[in-house]
Amino acid sequence: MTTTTDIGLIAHLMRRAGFGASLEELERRSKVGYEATVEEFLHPETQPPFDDDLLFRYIPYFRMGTGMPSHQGYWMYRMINTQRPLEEKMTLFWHQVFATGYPKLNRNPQMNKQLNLFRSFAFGNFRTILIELSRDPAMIFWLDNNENRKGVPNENYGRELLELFSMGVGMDDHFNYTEDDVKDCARAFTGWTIAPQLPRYPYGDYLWDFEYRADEHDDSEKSFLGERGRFNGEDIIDIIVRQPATARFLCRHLYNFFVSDEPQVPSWQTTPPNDPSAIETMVQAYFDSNYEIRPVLRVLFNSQFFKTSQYRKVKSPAELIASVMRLVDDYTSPKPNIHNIADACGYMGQDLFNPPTVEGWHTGKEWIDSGALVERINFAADRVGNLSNPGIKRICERLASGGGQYTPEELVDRCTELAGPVHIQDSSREGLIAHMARGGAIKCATATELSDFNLRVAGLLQMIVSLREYQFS
Amino acid sequence: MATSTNPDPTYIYSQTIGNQSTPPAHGFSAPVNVAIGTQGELFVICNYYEYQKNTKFIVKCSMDEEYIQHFGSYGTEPGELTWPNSLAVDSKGNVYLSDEWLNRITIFDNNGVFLDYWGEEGSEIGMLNRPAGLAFDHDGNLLIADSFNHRIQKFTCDGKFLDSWGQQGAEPGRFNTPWGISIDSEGNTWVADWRNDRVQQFSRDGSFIKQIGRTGTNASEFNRPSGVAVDNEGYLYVVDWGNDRVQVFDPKGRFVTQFFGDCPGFSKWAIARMASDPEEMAAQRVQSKTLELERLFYQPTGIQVDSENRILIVDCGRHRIQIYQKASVSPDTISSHLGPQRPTQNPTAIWGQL
Repeated sequence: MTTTTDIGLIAHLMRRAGFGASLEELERRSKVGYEATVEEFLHPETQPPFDDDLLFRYIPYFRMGTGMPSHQGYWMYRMINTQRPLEEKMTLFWHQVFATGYPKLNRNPQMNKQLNLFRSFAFGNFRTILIELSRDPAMIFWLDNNENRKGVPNENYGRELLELFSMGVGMDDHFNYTEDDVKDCARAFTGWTIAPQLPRYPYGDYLWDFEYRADEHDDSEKSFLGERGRFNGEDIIDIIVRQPATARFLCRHLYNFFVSDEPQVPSWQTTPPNDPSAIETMVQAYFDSNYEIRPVLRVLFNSQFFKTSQYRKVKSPAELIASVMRLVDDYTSPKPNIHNIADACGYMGQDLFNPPTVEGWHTGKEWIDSGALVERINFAADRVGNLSNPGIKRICERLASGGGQYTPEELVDRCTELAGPVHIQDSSREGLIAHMARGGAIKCATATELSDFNLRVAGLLQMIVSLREYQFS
Repeated sequence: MATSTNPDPTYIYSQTIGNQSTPPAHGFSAPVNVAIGTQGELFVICNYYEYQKNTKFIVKCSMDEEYIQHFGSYGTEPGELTWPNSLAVDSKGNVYLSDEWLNRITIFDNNGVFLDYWGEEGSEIGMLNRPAGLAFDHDGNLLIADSFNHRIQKFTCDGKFLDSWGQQGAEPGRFNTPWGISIDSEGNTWVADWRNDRVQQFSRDGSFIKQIGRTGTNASEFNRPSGVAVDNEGYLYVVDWGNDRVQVFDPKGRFVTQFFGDCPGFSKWAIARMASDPEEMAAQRVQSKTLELERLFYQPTGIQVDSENRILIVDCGRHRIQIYQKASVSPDTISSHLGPQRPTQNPTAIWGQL
């Protein structure tokens, strides 16, 4: 196996397959190599599980609280601190695809349980994933499958299973299924419901469990995608995962999430993929492995289409926030008010556990509007400009240890490297250099010089994260 | 539900205090510790949301579930609470509270009036880093589990440093992020050595005496023990936080029994709460097939034993205190008071792998 040690490429992998990394981590990983890092990410069990004992000790509501900010804050903390970055990124991916919202459930621990489910099957078999999804009480309640009974079917889940979770409405200008397929799909899932549970009061929430009620299941013959039989839900999923449309829909989602921004999902019926050959490569891996996700991701991350896609994706709010916090090394141990970080994610347009619709969030350039952009820049600039943050302290110390003096060009280049590295355009670089030059000589040999130097570095970092380029991954 | 392996002592579930509520309603919000006052009154510290400022407070109530008052609120100013951990009451009836974020001890009088605070953040002798468990010794001095300094420190009531022992490690006499602390009738100190999954006993001068436990889920094994208490006959009660249970040991350190929780229904305050929407809640309860879950501990934390050998277990995740009575009766007599020996589905299991 070849070993790629290009730190820029590893930084790209860390941004996309994880939530960014400090230069120190990138240097450590470059010694291991790109390919080995990919394998580590694909096998999260090789890394320590997330240690939340301390978190639950200081902030008990992260485990048992019923309020939504509890669980949003807890998840954001995991994104910042996980040692299994791709596992957490895939959890975010499935949350985007299988978008479920707390306002309807009003049972927030149930949402957290759904995330645990997503983590557990992050790299698994798509057939298993769809079956577990169909048995997930949060999803059942979200899409009314608890109202889906023999003789009085509710088509909500059956429809979205096809339209948004597996096949998509269509591709290449044709429909992937008919209205009759939706109806019989829904009938196959009659009786898949939630066991009655204790009420929230007086002693707090109890988690729902799945329950199959044979007496509510419609066991009559059904017709689905050209096949006939007395299908139950598992039979429907068996048929779904065999479909070329399913493979393409899933791989296009993965490509959009990890490689490059695609058009929004509703247009996929009429708009071909940006890179059809990349999708085809992933589809082949899907079928070759009998619908496993891990081999598809292995192909994706080792492909040229991934390696050459640097800075072609707009960071999602969660990616932006987690990567900034990892850079500045804040909230890397428990401290109060973690929910504020999750609140910021919502202000930028990604209110975790609360997608705008069952379709999830629109991504790419739609993450950016004038309000969201101001939130993103202010959030990042506030943190990197804070010299008390350990990550910023380390950057200043590292720069100061390099010598007693910098030219504006040297300092701009070093700071763009330490802040990401961030790839900036020549015009942006020239602007930063001109700004630094106006401040006079850049020295850090004496204590007085060092104090001024640190402030100038923090200011420069603030300008770097305010650049258009910083919004891209 | 207790599993008795020794006919003496036996334990009877007695009662439950509390339900999920915030002031001025009568109840608790994620209670983490309880202290017993000089007149038998209870002080319960609640440590719930940071984004709802009224969910961190102290409740004063009686053992009979008479709600007396609440005091304290979230914040960082003197008299406020950020990460409250434990309580202790001195001989004058004043209430001492440890705060793991503010690194200080806050003192209220018996009526909840803020009196003073002391404590300085740091690792030097006499400084505090995440102070957790509190207990007054027989001389009226305050022992503190100084958790991130991995040691026990002793102070006078007004914060004058007296003594310190322990350092980080897994060897006997060392600690890893200790939490609960208790003084037995001999004046020895018991410590819940949280991250080492054991409890340790020390003499008055801090000399190591013995330890109980190792990592696991079986008898005499722990998953992050958070609280310890000792009754007047030397029986030891350990809150096994990560295993959602309490284990009981005899004075020689032998396992006696364990509790998983036995709350059979509603406390007085819960009855009042349920009366607010009786039809809907009753309907849900009738349909539920998992009423047994309501009996169980969920994330228990603190523990105290009173002079009548009543064991008060702070059932944090269920916003209540479950109380057991130690009794000298035969197991046959108490069997009707106890549920099945083990839960069919404990809260940790249904929560899933985190």
